[in-house]
Amino acid sequence: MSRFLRTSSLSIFFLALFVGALVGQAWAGWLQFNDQQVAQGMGEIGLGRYLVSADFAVDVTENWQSEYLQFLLYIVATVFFVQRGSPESPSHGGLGTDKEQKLGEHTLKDSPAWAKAGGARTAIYAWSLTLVMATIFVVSWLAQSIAGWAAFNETRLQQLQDPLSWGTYLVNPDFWSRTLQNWQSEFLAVGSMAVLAIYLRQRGSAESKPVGEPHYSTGDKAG
Amino acid sequence: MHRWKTLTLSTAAFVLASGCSSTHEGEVERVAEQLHAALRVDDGAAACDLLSEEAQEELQESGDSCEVAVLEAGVSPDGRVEKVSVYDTSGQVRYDDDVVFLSEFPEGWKVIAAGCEKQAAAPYDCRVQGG
Repeated sequence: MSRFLRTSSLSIFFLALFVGALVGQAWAGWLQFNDQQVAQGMGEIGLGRYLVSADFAVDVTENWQSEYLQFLLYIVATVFFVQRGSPESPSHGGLGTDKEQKLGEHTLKDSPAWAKAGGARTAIYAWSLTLVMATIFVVSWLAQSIAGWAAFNETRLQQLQDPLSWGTYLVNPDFWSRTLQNWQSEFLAVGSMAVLAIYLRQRGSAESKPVGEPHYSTGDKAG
Repeated sequence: MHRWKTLTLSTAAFVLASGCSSTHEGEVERVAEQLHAALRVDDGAAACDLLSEEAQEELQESGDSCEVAVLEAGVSPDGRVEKVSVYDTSGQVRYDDDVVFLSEFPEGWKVIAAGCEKQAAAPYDCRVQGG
């Protein structure tokens, strides 16, 4: 058990942060929701009811979709785009040769089974990280659109207005405001990380070049 | 991979929880129908019991009691239900001659507006309204 904790501490650390932050968001969101309800002369709801509400769901999923989009784009963009001096960038763009990717005759004894299988399975496995991240992004964004639609209509009914259809909500400013306010921050964070890592260092971090590495060193050559 | 599967399932659960409102539609329709039924038999007390606190207070601003004012408000109680919509804590029952808005309170669904007429690009104008 202690070996597992030691060798998986990064995952466990972020899982604990995730759970803690989600619990905090649920608690704060519930109090905020009830404040608004009381201010509008509506009824308060219990925490359990709030956890299955559209308001909580849209607040959670709008952040999930943007985070997965961020990593999805970063994974794909770093295949094709280069940033000289960035440890996150490949030294040259492209999918790499079989030798570089340890495929075909270059597979190792311990290579994943699907990497050694060849054909369609290896082709799918070669993009599996992107495919899974893209799927989670699409599912989260779809969930945001449905939960956001329900939450938006809940407010419209409180204001004595007719509800909108889901299709109409997809072109409503509320949907795009929620979406783009998250996207812009993710894009800024990723872009600034790619540039700042050219000149700045964090000793010991896999996300940084070694402290003494020249600024011009890029990607795999930088490690 | 397991964590991703969990995240996807959680997302699906959110969608189901927030998107499915059919469980409340029957209750919302029942309360709106009870209001119309009370108005049809001139039972002002029963009608007021179905209204939110703010809707009752709004009616009393005329100087009459809620029981009297709700019967004089002019809500048409004879219509046929055309559509019921529920989104989380809010509901709407559309009749062929009336629209009723409801909200979920700790004690159950209450009418926040009734006798509503659509206004162009504006909220409904309602004969009974509060909240």
